[in-house]
Amino acid sequence: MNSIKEAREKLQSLQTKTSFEKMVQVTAILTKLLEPHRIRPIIVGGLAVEIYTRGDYTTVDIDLIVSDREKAGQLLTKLGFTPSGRHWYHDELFVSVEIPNDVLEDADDDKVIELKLEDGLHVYVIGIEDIILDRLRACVHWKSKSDCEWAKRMVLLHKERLDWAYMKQVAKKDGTSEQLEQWF
Amino acid sequence: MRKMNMSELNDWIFSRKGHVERDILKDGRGQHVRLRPRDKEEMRVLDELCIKRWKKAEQEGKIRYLNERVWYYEFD
Repeated sequence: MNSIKEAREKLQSLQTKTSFEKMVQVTAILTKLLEPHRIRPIIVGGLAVEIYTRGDYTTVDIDLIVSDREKAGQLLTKLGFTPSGRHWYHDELFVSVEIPNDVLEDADDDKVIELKLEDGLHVYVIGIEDIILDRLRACVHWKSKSDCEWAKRMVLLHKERLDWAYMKQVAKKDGTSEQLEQWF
Repeated sequence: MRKMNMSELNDWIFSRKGHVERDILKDGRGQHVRLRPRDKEEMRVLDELCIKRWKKAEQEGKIRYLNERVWYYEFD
């Protein structure tokens, strides 16, 4: 799948999939088209939580970190997405993409996880440690109960896979150590 | 009372769904923030269900850890 035509056909085939799968597959198609330009989109935000909780958390759009927003916008337009405010929206798939930033902030590039999908495509997702730390910051500093719940759930779900030393170090800097320690 | 069959209702919903979804997105994301915190028991049950679902996917080979930072991930 190297051409826009093939990519559009692949997008059409997603019509019957769940919203979760559609969002991940759309990102995989976009990744396939951007990588030859040395651009690696990274899934952040709600969709990352949805991936790491296997669909238990639900989100409404795709948040992507892309180093070249203009290039991504051109591609999304060619794929049938229309710009709408901060989003690109696909009218037939009901999928929305937002690019909140061009660099991965408050997260470690080396912690990014590559997910290889069934059909040979792949996506990149903010590291599990960093998405937990992100939700932990919202939990502690914004007093967001929902973020506390999902951060704790991801800790329970992935505790044997987490780089605790890294998480403790970042949490100390963030002023969130106490809450993180409670979840250990 | 207006009568409508199921396929008419579906057509009616889908003819509007696109711009409705788009308008909701434009208005920001505040509207899907949960306001009522869950109680502890409810959270415990949801934690367990989430863990079970993940482990089941691992057992079925739908999630495999190819290395620390590369995973195979298949949908249900």
